[in-house]
Amino acid sequence: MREQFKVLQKNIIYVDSACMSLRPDCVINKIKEYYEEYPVCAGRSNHKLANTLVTEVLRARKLIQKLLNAKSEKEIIFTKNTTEGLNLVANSFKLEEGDAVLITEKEHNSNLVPWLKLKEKGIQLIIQKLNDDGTFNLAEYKTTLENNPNIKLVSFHHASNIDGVIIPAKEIIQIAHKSGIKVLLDAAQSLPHITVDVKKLDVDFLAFSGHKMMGPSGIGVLYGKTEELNKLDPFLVGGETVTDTTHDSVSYEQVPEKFEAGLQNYAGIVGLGEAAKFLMKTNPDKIHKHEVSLNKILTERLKDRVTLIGPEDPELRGGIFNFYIENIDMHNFSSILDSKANIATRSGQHCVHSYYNAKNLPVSTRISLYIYNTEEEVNKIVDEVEKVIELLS
Amino acid sequence: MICIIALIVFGILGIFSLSYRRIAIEAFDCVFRRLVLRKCQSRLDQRARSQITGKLMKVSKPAAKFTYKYFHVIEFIFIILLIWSIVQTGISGYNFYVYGNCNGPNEDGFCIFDPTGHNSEISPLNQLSCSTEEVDKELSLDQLNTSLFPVLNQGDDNIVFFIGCYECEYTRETYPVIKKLIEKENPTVIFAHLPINHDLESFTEYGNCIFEKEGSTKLMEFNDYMFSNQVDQCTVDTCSAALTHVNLDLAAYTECIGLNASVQLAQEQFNALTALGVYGTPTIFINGEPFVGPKPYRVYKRALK
Ligand SMILES: Cc1ncc(COP(=O)(O)O)c(C=O)c1O
Repeated sequence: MREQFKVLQKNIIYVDSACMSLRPDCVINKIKEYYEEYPVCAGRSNHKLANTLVTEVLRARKLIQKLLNAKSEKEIIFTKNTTEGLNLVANSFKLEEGDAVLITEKEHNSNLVPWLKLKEKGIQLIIQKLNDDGTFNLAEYKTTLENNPNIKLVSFHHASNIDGVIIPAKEIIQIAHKSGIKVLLDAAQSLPHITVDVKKLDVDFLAFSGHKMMGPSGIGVLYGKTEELNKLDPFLVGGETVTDTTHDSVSYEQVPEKFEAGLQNYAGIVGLGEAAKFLMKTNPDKIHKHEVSLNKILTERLKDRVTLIGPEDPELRGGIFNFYIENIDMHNFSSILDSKANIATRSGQHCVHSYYNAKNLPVSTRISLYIYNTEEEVNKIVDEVEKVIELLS
Repeated sequence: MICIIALIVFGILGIFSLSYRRIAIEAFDCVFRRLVLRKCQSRLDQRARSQITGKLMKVSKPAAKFTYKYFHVIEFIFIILLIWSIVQTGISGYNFYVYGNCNGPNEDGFCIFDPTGHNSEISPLNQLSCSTEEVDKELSLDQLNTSLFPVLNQGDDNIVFFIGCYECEYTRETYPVIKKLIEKENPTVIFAHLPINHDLESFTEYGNCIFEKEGSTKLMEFNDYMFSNQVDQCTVDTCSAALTHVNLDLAAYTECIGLNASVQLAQEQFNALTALGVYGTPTIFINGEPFVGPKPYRVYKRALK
């Protein structure tokens, strides 16, 4: 399977997949196929190439429907990425002055800033506290909902990019629905690593990015239940989102086209379909197991030498091993790992500044594992991490 | 501090490549806006520090540790070296502009602005004297009696003392530059023929005789001819060609150069020039300041008052 990922031949240990995953040949070839065989626009034109593309786009939509186990392919809206999906809901979901949105204290900026912006319109933002180790506390969540009857929407990350913790989404959604509250899940870090079944979860909206699930960059998806999507106002409007216009009126398309403004990133869409197929073939649950087994090695060998962010149990952290060392600049740490041993990690606050600031956490180095990482690589990482600790302390 | 170095180095490289331009912009930010650093990004200087350390770790751990620990000291040393090399480059540029040579007046070290060393090339006098001794390069006109030599142009009180030889490549190159100087600035130019080849010795005498009998104008015409035609021996043919070209009577001049006084004057001139320490042609003194080798026009012009 590793041979599908050409860049690995460069003798690099890539453990920054939470930021962007590598892409297998089949995805790259699919993108190439679009440019070489039907590089046209879908829908508008009446020729064979356009027809081929329409079929390919539909095929991709269906593959993603299958991956999510959605009711209909019409529930799949193509976006640029998770951020755009979250913004779409933030700007289109009917919220009125005095209504509130609930998020956790550990959200990526993409699931914080769009809501912060709504404060200007008098929409309240409530922050759900988590347990000290970053895990979710259902009891506290229930209390929050009880105490804040004005909450109309819950927008949570499904899996965290800083500690890998997966929230109990099914229970969270059930509880919310009991109070008539809708739920939006940021699945950027869950969909690539575990099975996400929107029917079983009964989630109202769910957003994710192609580039974290071995798909192309610049393409993402917002899933929404048909009835919920129909209630949303269009966000970006223009070509492709309308059936007719006059100089003073407009009739909008049905979903999903209503939300897909302008000509689309077709290469991205067909590539994403291929990535969905690849992911289903590999089986996300097996990916999760594989990542946990590697994370166990990291945790076992390094837990006494570094400070971990998140729960100690690797089962709870999936493929994320995020750590810092007192009195060591972790930016330099990551950079040395890269220049000395070709190990690609990421350092910083990982776009979850608000949580780092609230918890007073220093900059950290994140190792994020995926399907293509091996036990041998993980052992090499530990050896090198130990050497760099020795050097810098 | 390394950001300053990076800004200068990548600023220059950035002219040619986009990837270096990006680093230059980052270095600019690093130098001028140090406090608005994004938390997700480390500063350029820290990246450089750790990348160098990482590379060194592959070779020697102690060296890597030392570099990481004393990076600021190393940076400081590099900054000093950078400033020093900028100053040196400035001095070289100035020297090149003023003397046609980066290393200062009449030095012959490598000069980046004149990589072939052309501006300092000479036809060496050793060819004639067979001397292998190191020549004393401290040239000065102080001891010289310039009235021994013919005046090529009687101009203002700027004195150009032009030592060259008819056959020599670099004198030939310089002659039109000196002529341009005469036309544009009208300095007084004294011409000293220094034959680096025995066969050319009698031409010194011809020059002297022409100046004595006919004055500067004819000598200038004679020089024009000699410098534009490769005449490397004074045979009857070449001499008559030179003289008839400037409308002079070969017989009268053959007589003049045979005279003891004429031979003696040429010898005196030669001795005076070698005593001066002249080691090759062209050597030009402008108001006493020596220039060895063919220099650009601007160099000579700047030396005029
Ligand atoms: C949990 C989470 N949410 C949202 C995002 C934003 O994704 P994108 O930049 O693809 O829009 C990320 C990206 O790292 C993420 O990890």
